[in-house]
Amino acid sequence: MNDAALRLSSTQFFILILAVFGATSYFLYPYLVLHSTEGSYWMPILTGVLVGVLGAKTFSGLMALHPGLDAFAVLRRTLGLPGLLLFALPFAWHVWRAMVMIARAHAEIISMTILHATPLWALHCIVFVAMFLAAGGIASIVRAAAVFIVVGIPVTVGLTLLGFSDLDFTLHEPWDPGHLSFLDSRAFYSSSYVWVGFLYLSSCGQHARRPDRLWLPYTAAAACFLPVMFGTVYLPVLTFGPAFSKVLAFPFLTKMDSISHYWLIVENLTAVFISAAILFVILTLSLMMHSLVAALRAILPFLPARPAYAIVGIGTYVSALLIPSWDWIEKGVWLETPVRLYLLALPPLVLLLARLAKGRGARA
Amino acid sequence: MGGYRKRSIWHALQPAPGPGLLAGLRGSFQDMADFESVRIGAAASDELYLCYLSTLVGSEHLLFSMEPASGSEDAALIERYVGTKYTEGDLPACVEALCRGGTVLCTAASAAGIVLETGDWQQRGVQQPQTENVIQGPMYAFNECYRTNVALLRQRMRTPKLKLWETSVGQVTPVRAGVFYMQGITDEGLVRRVQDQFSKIEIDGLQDTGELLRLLGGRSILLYPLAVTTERPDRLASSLLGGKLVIIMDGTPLAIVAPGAFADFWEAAEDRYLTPVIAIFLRMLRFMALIINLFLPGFYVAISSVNIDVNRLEISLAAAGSREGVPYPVLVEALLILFLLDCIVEAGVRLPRTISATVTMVGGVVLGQAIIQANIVSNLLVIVAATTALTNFIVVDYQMGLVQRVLKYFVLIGAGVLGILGLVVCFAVLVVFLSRLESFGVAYLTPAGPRARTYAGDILPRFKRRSRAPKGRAG
Repeated sequence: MNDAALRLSSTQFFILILAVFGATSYFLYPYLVLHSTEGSYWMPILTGVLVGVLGAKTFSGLMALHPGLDAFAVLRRTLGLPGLLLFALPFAWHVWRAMVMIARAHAEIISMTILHATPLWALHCIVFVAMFLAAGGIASIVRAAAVFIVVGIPVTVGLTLLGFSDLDFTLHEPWDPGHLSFLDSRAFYSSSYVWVGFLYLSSCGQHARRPDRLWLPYTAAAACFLPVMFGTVYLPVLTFGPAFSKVLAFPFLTKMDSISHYWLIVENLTAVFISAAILFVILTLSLMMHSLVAALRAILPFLPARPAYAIVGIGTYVSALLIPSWDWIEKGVWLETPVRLYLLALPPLVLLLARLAKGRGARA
Repeated sequence: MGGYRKRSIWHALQPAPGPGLLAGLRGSFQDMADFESVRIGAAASDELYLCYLSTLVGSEHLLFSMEPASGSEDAALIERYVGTKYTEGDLPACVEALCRGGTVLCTAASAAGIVLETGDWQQRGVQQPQTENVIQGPMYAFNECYRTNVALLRQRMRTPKLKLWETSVGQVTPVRAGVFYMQGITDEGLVRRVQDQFSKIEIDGLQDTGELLRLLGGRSILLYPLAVTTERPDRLASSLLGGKLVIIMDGTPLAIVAPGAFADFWEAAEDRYLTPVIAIFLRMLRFMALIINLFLPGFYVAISSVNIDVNRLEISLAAAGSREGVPYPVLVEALLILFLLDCIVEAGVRLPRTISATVTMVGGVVLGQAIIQANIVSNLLVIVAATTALTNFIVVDYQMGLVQRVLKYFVLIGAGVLGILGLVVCFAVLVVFLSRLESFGVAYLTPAGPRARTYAGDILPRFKRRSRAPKGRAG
């Protein structure tokens, strides 16, 4: 496929973002939201959505500065090499860390819930599936995404809906809109990794027909996934109560475990859920790898693509294996938060600088 | 077919004078018992010879006069030539012509000869399809004769827009191949691409379109067939109208429809002749069969050996009860029965029809019953294996059916190692593999994701519908 001439539709961008939400929001996210506030869980979720949409909007503005180029080329053209380095280096760091965390976290979750005896090195091999997909280019990723979404979304959303069957609404917390304590919480900022999915489209700018509208598929995907996100937080709360939900490492998975219906031929829904969610993980990892390789090749143009994918894949696999425990993952998500927030704040700054430069040029 | 009067034809068939043709032909066809060079008389000042391979030539093309006519001496030799055309050719052209059943008329001293189309190829008649039976739709299919196949397609599509580009493939035994496309509908870039691919083929000889497809497909062919092959002219006609091109080859009834997408392999010939709801239902049935065929044995292994807790307790107990006395692990047991089943299927395909029914009976019923009684496999697994075999026969395309047969072992091993997760990972690997494949420049997973590559800046119109406004009848 001639990737340079490839044009992706808004639906295809929507599917990619949906996959990122599917990979990131079911496991650690409910835990972080539950620990970010005392009662009004909907507020950190909605605040996250709004910040994400604003981020996507400014990011689209950045991409629209030079349509037909990816984010790295746009920054290079707008701010020169320093601008490229200011974005590409932290971006590469963030994406690499995120890939390592996601790969390790899912391997740990699988090991804890369904395959207790399988060694982690075997479970980490999904990294190589993602690497194989990423090396096929963005066209392959989008094609695979279309199939994965068709299979994965009905299963995961269907299982989420099954969770509505045994809720106890007396366990709910007050919906206090003035409860802003989550803004002081570390967990809230840590949970921002869910909302930065648009950053992984950095390498896709040249495939968008209208880069300035790239935020629309993000917003649509966020709006579609928002009820599921509420479900991941509120279903455990309305089943086990807020206090008990907070002490659970994976509140939503525990909720899945508690579902039982006489007409269901499957008893362990968690196994089915995690297995289906692995499709999103593979997709997200491949999208991240694609953007990471694009960032590396923007910094080092002489780097050939195939070895770059091999290096990134093997590097991610080895790094994920080196993480010693689940605690390190939680710490890692928090330690990586400043870089993530920096990447969120960079596009508006660049837009501002570009406008200033344009105004100065016009005056001159 | 045309006939020519002896005098007029003889003036046209004057062989060019020069040395070597007859000697060259005799040298080339040395030690060939069916090669004949017959002296039929004298032409002007030289002797006249007819050279041919007696096994390929039909007797009805040349009529000899028993009674010489008045006038010139040589005019009495051949009364009449009945054929489509005649040409003049040098030694290589004459050798090639003889190999395809032509007759060369030359003098002992000529450098070039007159090639008469006298071939009488042995071929099947136009019969019912052998591999693509339908209940509703046309009931005839291609045979092994290139000319017949071209004629059958031309009879279905009576339009000058149906273009045919011909070439020959093979250096030692050349075989004729033709590329059909619709002018104004098929992408010209695609046609050029296929023509380029033909020019790159270096092979001694070709026997079937399957071989040709591998050569045209480049490096991307590993497991999946990259284009549909069919013997039905109606299917080819509708594909041509859909913007695809068709490659036919001499000596095989199967034509290639290119480019091919994964979904095309699940479309039967008669789907277009049925109502949309029925066609969609049948296609869904086939996709369900695909899923069952690939994943059912793996699912059984996963839930009875790795993820025992996934199932309801009652089902797990039933599965465990049926395995009572079976000494092997579930994975080995499943591999064993699937291997046996594949052996039975293969035996049934290869043997003569009269024997294959017996083999299937012995293999399926007797062996199946005995294998359960001997506690080698559980009866639940026999049900799983039988269902798997049944769903494999639902696959429309034979090549795709073979791919399915191989892939179920891959999925089985994945499920044996990682259980349910293994099934999903195997599914993901297959989809990733498919997402990277291209058939003649078009994504194999079309219509999922970006549809096609660009040829000269234009997107290939892969699924061109007949959206043109219906033309009114004049007058």
